[in-house]
Amino acid sequence: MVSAVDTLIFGLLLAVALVVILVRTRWIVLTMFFVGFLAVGLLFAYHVTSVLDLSF
Amino acid sequence: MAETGKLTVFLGSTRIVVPEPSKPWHRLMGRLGFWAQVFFLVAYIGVLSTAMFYFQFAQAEMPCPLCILQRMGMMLSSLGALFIVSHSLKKTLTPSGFMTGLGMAILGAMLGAAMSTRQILLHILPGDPGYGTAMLGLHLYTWALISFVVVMAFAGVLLTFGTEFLPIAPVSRWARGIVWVVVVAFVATIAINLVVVFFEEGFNWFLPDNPTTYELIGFTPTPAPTPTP
Repeated sequence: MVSAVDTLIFGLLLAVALVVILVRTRWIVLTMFFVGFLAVGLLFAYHVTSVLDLSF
Repeated sequence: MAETGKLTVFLGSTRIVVPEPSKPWHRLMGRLGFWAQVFFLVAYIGVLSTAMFYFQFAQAEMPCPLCILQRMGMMLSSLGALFIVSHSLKKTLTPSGFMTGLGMAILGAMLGAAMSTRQILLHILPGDPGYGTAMLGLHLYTWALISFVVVMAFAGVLLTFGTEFLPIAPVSRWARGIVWVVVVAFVATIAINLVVVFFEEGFNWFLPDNPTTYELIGFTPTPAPTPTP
């Protein structure tokens, strides 16, 4: 089973890029973009594992 | 309703004006708007290629998970320029599509800026050597934050002008050919990153915090990097 999340997200971004170039319908482009955006955001949230010991 | 050089439509109480680029300076700004988007793409292709081919391959520095995420942020942001450039070349770009592209660029840059800010703050304390090699006195994640801020400023400036910088694609075959090469190069950049990160990650769920080995083939590059967490 393929389980490499970063690789899968790059695959998703590749698919989004092809949709952006080839598809004219704006809502399809936007939906794909936000799916990619959400996937990258969730991976970022996974890697933010602790609150930094800093005062702002 | 047609005015001189403009098409005006009323949607409810909103007046939508689509200018026709009739004056020489209008066409100049349109061409500038097009090539600015192409430059945006070329700049990020250059940044992503330098990070991969120079720092990762030549310097044997393995990118950390946040580094990979920042590459994704740059790609997300560039998708906006890709949308504008490719549809402008195909003559399918509308004023609202232009705004969609700039919005995508801003959103991608915001996410990328959050990632690079996180990595800067991880290494902000005095005495921390940072992650990886510095370039011109700044680490790559700091340069990444600068690039994301530049993208947001770039898109903001274009949006304040409204439709003045609506791209006008070139008509000559060689110029259009060069731009299509840039579009293909951007797609290839994503594809190459996909392969490289697959070699680095293997079939593990996620990248380790301090990667030292290409997990797929069990290869540790020499000299092995000694990054600080």
